[in-house]
Amino acid sequence: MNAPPGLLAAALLFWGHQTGLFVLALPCAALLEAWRLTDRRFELARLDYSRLSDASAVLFFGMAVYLYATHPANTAFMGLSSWLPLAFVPLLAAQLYSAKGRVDVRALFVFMRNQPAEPAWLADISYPYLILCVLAAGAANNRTALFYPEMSLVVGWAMWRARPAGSSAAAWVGLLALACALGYEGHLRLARLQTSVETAAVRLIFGAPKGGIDPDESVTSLGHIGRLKESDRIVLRLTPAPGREAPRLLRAASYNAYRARRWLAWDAAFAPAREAAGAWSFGPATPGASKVSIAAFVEEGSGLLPLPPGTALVKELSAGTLSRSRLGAVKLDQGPALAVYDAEFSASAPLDGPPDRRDLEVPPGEAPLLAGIVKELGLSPRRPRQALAALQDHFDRNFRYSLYREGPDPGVNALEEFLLKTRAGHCEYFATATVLLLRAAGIPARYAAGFSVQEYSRLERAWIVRDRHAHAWALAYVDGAWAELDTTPASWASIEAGRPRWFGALRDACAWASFRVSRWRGARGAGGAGKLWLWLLAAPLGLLVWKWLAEIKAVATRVRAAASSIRPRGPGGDWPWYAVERRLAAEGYPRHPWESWPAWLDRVASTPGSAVDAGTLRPLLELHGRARFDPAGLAAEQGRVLGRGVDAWLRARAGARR
Amino acid sequence: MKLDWLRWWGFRLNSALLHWLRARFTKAGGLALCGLAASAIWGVDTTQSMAYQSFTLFLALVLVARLAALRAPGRFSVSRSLPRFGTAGSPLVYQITVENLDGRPRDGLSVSEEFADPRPSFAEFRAQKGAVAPRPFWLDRLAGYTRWSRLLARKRPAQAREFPVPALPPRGRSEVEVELLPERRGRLSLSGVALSRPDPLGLAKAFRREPLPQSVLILPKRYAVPRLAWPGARRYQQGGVALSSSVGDSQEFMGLRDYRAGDPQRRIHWRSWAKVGKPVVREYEDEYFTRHALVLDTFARPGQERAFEEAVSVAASFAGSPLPQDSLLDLLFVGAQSYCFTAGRGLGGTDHLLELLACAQSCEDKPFSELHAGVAARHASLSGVLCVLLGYDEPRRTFVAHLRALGLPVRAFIVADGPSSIAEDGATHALEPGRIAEGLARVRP
Repeated sequence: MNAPPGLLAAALLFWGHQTGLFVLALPCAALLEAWRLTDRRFELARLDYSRLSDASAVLFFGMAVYLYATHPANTAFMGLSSWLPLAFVPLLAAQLYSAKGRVDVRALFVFMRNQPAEPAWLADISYPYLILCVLAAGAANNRTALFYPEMSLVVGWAMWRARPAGSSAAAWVGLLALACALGYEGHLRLARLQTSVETAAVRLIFGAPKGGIDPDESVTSLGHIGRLKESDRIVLRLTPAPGREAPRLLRAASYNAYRARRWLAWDAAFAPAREAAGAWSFGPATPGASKVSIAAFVEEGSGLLPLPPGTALVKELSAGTLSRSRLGAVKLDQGPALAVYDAEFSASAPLDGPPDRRDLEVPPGEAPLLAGIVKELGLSPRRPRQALAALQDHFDRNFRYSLYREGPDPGVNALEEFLLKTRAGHCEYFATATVLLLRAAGIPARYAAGFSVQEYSRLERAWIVRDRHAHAWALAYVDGAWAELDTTPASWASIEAGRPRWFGALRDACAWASFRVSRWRGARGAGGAGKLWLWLLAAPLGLLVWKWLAEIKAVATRVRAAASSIRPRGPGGDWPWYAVERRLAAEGYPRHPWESWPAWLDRVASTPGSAVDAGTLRPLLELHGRARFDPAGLAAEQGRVLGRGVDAWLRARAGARR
Repeated sequence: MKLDWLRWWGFRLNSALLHWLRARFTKAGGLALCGLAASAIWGVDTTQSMAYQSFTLFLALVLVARLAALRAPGRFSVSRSLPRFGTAGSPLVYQITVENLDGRPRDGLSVSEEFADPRPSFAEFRAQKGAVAPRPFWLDRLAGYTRWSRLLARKRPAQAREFPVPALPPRGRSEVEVELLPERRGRLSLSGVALSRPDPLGLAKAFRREPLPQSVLILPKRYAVPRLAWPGARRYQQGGVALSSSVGDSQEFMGLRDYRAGDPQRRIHWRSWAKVGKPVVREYEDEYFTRHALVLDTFARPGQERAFEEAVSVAASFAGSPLPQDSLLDLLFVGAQSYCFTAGRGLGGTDHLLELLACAQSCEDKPFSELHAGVAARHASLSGVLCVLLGYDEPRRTFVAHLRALGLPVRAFIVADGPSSIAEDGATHALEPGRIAEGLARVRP
């Protein structure tokens, strides 16, 4: 049973409206409905269906490549889903314009093509196609209030056609309305449910933000028991300008307040950065500034950009907007998943705002401990450079780097244990202790988080930064400028590098390949010239499809619409007698196709409980027989007798049944 | 082993689920369920796609339809009038009578047959492991679904459809002409009749199963066979006419001779004894007529199930073809033991042979030599042999050569999968399963 006139067009127009592809939906709808205007049909063999199926597959593949190349990966899948009806138009058109009016299902699947030719597995794909249109329209995620009513109309229309013969139209309408109302209420509740579940799950699993650097807060691992483990995943790549050194540190954020093992960025709202000619400027240009090209993965295109200290200019960023905070963090919004940019930096630090009272705050609980050490080391705000050097020297000589920590002593906090007892820890210990000691000595200081650049990849001919290169250090305000102070012993690089890595080289090679693909995609999405590649890809695919379609040796035939010429109710269909037949059929006494009217009447009359008097109806039946078969027909008076007799019988029957 | 068990269990569960769904949902309902499943995947994240709205709509439609179809379609009494036989591959047409036991008319009902559970056991599933499709798709090979579906198809007795029941008046009855397509020979067991009525939306079905266990014997599929000139001359039949028939050249009186010790008393010719004064007996001519053997090779290896079924069909085609009037046909095969059944000359019709062939099973616990010995032991009474063999390996070649060496004309039909390396001559014919009719049409009488 093919879809009724207009249904497929309605489904396609609904899809076009939701996806914004109305221009494509309109010709497709016309193609899928125009077959009714012609009596030309094609004799398609199984091989022809296979070719059409392959053509659909190639279209699908082409769309997948196009979308992957031009859209971010997370939206490419849904984009592909929303384009699916286009891919299957050739196959459905083949069904509609074929003499059989069906598709051989085995031609659609490669693994079924070896099966014997007979019997053919013919199927009508118009209704599955309709469902595909509905789903694809949903995948477009065009969140309009019209989606649900439009979808309900299309689905309801399709269901009206599949309504069981003899079922009550009122019951059908009532049940459909009930289902639509339930579905509407259901989708509202489902959306709310997902929001609640997600919120609860995030709270349960990720009590604190993890993975990526939070501009507002940095939760340290001070007091963490056991060995800290970070992954080897490569998170960014640097290529310094020829003849220039790569920066040693890349800062993503800095924080000014320490509360219960957390560093917080207070009063550090982001404000849009200045952009001119594709370059984002954060301070006056410095002659002789160094330049580095950075490629960093940014989750969903939004996040903090790791930048060298003293960055004055960011340029060559393909998309997105930048904003900066008072504490020197630069945030990317609506950018690509792989942000590639050039940064110009110098010794001065135009990114960081001047210090305030928060940069001197020391937690009251830690103050006595810190004051003791400050006194012991002789740190003074009057000689800040000497204080920095003394601190660096103190940590270099007396401390060592360690990722392992045993269980704490009761009553001793993590910082005290680190400074006085174990004298071993990871970068967060060193950075926190340095910042707090500087503040206790009266020197404004901040806690900086970012990455340490320490590994050069000969494969990629670039500096690479892994997850485990995440680093923390201190910023000290000395002589009117912020200076970086990294007191973590230099041995940490060799300790980190010395840890065993399983399949490290292979994983790096895969990561590099993935990076190249991401860069290629970024380049394609950025420039119109990149789309040339897509056209180059489309050309052979198009030729392939054309070749297959040309090989289809379909013979066009003319079909007579035999079925439509048979009218269910011919001349005389409104004769009074038929009302009697309909009435008795409704009561459960239908006439069998092989039964004559007199035989039927006798059978019904002899059925117990029917309460049919054959004697009353037989004269009416005789008149009906003469009306039908007598060449002379019925006289007008006899016709009136028949009509009145039937009406009287029907009234009497209705009264008796009540 | 464990993986295989998991596969079997999964397929079994899947079959049960599909059966349940088919019984309770219409085709439109099936599409709505597919839409429901697809939208559940597409709309899993309500923020990424609007397909979750399709999901809730399809879910509501299915639930409302299912609720509307919860009421049983009514109370009925069902009976069926089955024929004695059916034939595999040919429609089996019979009537089902449905009687409405309620005082309300019933309309829109459908009736369909229910069969015994066709799902293969784990042992059968495992045993099928070696037998794979000629060119299996890699995914098929990995998942093992082809194995399952083949077994299921082999065990599924027939394809059943739904047939509309004419409107039933209150306490009235109606006859429905039902057509089944038996897919395999043997006993077709019908467990009951399912009566269903779609809900007003046309998605779900109100469903009632009436137990009505009955069975019908499905004879093997038969092909058109050439009218063979059965080879061989008349042979002396040791059992005499009593074993053959009472017509033709039986009881042919030859003469009288003196009594010899051991002659049966009923052959004494009393009047001649009275005349000559010593016992004289009547002497009859020995029984000579043509007697052919139709030998069916039942020694199928795992994976040869299709070829075996085709071999049975070929044997049935010859057994069902008309025989020369004065000849006998012995059907020889080995099952639980060696069997020999004779038809012709009033001993039994070919329908009996077809009934036997309908129930023939492959023999897995005996060697081919069992059949060889059985046929060779009867060679003295046979005029010719027609063999239907499952291959032409060394034991079978030896068998045919031995019969020919014994002076018996032999025509061998080799039913085997794959490209044939058999040198066909006037007496040896290769037949390929799936193309049997084509192969038989090439056979010259």
